[in-house]
Amino acid sequence: MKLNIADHIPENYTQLKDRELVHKYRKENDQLAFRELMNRHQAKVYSYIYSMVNSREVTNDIFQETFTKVITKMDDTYNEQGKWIAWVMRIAHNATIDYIRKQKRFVDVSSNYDKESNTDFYDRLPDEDSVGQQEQLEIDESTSSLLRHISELPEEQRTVVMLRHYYEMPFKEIAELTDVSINTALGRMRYALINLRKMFEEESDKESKKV
Amino acid sequence: MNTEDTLGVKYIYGELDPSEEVIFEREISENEDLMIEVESMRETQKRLEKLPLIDPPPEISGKVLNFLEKKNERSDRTHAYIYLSVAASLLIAVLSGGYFYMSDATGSQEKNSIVSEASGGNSSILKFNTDKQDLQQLSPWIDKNDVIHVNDLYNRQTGELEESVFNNTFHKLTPVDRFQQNFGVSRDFQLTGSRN
Repeated sequence: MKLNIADHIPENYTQLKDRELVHKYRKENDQLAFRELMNRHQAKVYSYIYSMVNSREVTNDIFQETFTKVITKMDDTYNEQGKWIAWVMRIAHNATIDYIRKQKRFVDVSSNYDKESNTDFYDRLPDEDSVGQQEQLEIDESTSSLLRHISELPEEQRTVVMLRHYYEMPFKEIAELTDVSINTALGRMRYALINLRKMFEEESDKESKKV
Repeated sequence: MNTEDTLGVKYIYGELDPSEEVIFEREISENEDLMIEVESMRETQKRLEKLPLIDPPPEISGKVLNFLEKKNERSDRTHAYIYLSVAASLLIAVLSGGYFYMSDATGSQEKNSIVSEASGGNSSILKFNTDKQDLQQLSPWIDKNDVIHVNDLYNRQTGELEESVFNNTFHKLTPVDRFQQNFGVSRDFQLTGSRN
């Protein structure tokens, strides 16, 4: 069964702010409001989880777990003071970190890089359906390279990069979410950017040598 | 990691205060190494903007929405139960209150106690009290003033005494020898068995 989540959402819902939608859902039990919220943010949540665990199957599980918790806890745990998406992200982040800790290892994508076939982890991801195949095709070479480099970053740095990129989360919030000081969060971002820069340069050097 | 090192990150992500930004930009213009580092980070940050957004598979979103619907159905049922319970409780409370109020009101109206004074003997007085609640609970009894109390024996519609109840009441009493079968309010009716 394939559902388009944006189906049947009235246009006026798309003009409402997150907090208004949250209020409608909580007070009026308006499912369309929740659909619109999910429609707005699900790709970011999914992308973040995916970037952290590098597995579609696991991402699907964590994504479902995240939104199940969101639906269950929205009535009581969430207070409408903070941003809804930041609260959702906290749940997604915790679920992701829980999974990684349970695995007791971080997915080391670099070790999965096959030099002979010149394919990386993302190239070899099993496609589950046509959407996956299409998505795979849409990722161009530079993006694939970018994803590979990001996956090579230490998990702490990758977390900061992804939270900042997908959620435009202020570093103060990232620090709170990851339970570190703001300077540590900023420092991790700085090292992540420096490391990525080095990776791009190395890659560029290799390509120029090939030529 | 000192604060100086992290200012560059805050700068490229627009998290410096305007005053801090002015100071930092002045610093950049005076420090070539810092300028190179900041520009390098900015370039990498721009590359990160190309990161693709990946939509979840529709069936996964569908599962979440199914869960949402089921949860709301459960919630609706729970709310319905709560509302029904509250409504039922209120109804019972209102009916009970109304019943007690009405019975009290009619009781006060009907408490037209009929006092039948027995003739002769020890001058016992038969007092009919029309309190319906007491009727079911109390047998005729005699208080310290030798007044026999029988509850709710007065028929409001007919204006007469309820004979059957009265008879039943009578059986529980000990009639005197000159007993006369007269249920009306009569001076010929004498009851004893109280204090003799």
